Amino acid sequence: MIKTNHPKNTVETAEQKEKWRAGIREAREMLLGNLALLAEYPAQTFYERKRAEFILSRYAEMATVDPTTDRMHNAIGLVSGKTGKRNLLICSHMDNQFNLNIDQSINVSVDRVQGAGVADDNLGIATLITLPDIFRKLELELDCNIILLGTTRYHGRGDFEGIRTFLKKYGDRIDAVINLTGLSLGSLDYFCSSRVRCDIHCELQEPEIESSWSRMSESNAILVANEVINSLNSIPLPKKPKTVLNIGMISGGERYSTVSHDAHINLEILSDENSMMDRLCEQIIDNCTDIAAKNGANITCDFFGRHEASGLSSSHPLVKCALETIKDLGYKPRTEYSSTQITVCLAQGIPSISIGLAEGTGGSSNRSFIELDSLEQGLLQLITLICKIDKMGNLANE
Amino acid sequence: MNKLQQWLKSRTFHYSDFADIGKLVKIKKRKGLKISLCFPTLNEEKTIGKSVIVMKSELMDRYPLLDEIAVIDSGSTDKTMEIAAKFGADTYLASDYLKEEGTCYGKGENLWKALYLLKGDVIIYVDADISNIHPRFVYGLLGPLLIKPDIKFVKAFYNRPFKSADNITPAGGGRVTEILIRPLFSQFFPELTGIIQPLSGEYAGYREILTEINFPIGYGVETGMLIDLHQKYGLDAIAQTNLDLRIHRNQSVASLGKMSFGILQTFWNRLAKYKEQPLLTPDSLTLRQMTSDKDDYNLIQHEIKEKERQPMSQVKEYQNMIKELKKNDNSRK
Repeated sequence: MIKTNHPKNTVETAEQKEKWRAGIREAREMLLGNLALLAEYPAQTFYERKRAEFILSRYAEMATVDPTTDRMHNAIGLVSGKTGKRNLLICSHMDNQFNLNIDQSINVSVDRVQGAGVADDNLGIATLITLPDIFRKLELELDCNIILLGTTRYHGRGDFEGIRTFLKKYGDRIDAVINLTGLSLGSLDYFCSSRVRCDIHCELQEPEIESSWSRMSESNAILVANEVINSLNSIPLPKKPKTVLNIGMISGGERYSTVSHDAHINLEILSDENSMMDRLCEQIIDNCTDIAAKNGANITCDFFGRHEASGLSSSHPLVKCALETIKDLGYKPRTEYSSTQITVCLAQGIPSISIGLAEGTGGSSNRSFIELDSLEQGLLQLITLICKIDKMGNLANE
Repeated sequence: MNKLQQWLKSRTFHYSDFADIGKLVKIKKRKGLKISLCFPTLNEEKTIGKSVIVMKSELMDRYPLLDEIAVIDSGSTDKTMEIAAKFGADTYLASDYLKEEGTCYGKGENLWKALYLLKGDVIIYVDADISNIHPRFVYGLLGPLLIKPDIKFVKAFYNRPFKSADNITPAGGGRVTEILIRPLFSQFFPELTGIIQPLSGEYAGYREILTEINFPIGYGVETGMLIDLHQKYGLDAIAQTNLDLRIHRNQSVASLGKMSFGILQTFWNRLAKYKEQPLLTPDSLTLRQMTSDKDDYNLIQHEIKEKERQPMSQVKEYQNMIKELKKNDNSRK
């Protein structure tokens, strides 16, 4: 049974909130400064080291933060609490999917900040490293320890390896997790479906003549991949438990004039029910085996990034507290299956939520932006939430 | 050359030499100095917000190194001034001040009026069009001024991200520097060839020296400033700092042509001012260019004497050949 301390007991006074707003306004430039400087340290997944060093140097500049790292180059900073009896982990991923050719510099106008990666999720990591400055401006002294964690290897094949490595070492000491994402203010994730990802590689034998007219009428890797896609689409998926198979990316071929030798399909399966996963994986392998045999091709299915369905319920004190905080700011909470790194935390039974910090538009182009006015609200949401959690009683999962 | 090479070694820095900003703040306080940062602007709404935010958050809020950040504008028609003010810069429209001196328009005018409008003992000028703006653009320039008492003026230079076939990095400036300024300096002010990028838009100096020199209002401001400071205070009062990469808008050849035209006017004025027989005989026919191997900068010298051939019609053998040809023609007739 969970012992619930109703969050309303810890609601801050209007006067205090006004004081916080003023402090947040003062700290906003520091956050935007960090956002601008982060863009100077590109951090494509697996190549985050320079950004990690920058984040660690930021921690080191603040007397209140004790910095450390690990073999994944996670940037870890400890802000010690007055009692230090509980540990609240605040995390955001530092990597993105942009290669060095993408200009990530930001452009600040009167009402918005624009640039590739700003909204998802450089804003999250910039907020994380500015938090100690915000605490200082607001003269906040918390009872619990705050652990600031900038994680690596979040995207794609990175498969949340940063947070997995951190939790392997420190997971049993974490009482609650808040994950920060750029978008959107009002969003709240606290549960996730069962998930597995799969990379399918279709490969033909090397042709003797690269561009043979006669071979063009035969099968090629892209056509084989097409058959695989058709077979994936023909797999019956139940409505209950809700199950989805999403083909997220395809690639293949080299030139107009050559028979394609390689093709790749990248897909994700999500389900409310963990048991669906084994069945679907097996069916995909069977289908691919048949198609490979009929086309004289090699097809490999590489499954990875699996996690079980898990999460909190809306009655959990952490969720209740977050919902109320969002409503207090005048936003309607939007809850969704999480695809963030809290899936790893939830799977380990750690009460975890993921929140958005601002309004805006995401995406990889430099048209991505955040609205500055909403950022102030987003930061107030975060500070309120941290203070409420600090005063809560038991946070154990239901 | 030895003196110049020696200067190059003792007066060339890297911004990372001054990355301990806390130490700079202590020196500034001990010396009781006020430090001002000036962004001269004209329609820079795309980059000014970030520039002000980065400098204010890092060098005023986090470390109290700067005492003021000001934007001095030539009359932008976009939101440059509004954005700069919103993020905490003091904003001035240049034409509103010192009206009795008449109104001129140009970057140099803004830099000159900064001396009147800003309060600092040290003034740092940073162009507002830098897209990879970073605190190093300020502390890298301030470092030598605060740490070495005999240095009064510091100029920025930047890495050029290309290598030649033999893997040696050309360490000079842009097109106008290498095609116009360096040849002119090599001929008339050879000591200034140690300045790697004389046209860079970022520099810092003590008020006491900046108020004693003329300010060309247009393209010639950097060239004029360097020559004047060198003539008045000597080469040892000048230093330069490598600020790594600077990403900014590339200019068209037509713009560079205009820039060169303005710079030439400033240059001829300085020749007339400092040389007894200007324009007649160059002081040197050695072109000095820069190379670098990592952070080791070297001048390479090329003796270039432009010889001229007389008209072919005046060459004796040619005359003989023509005579011979004519003779043969006549005999055939």
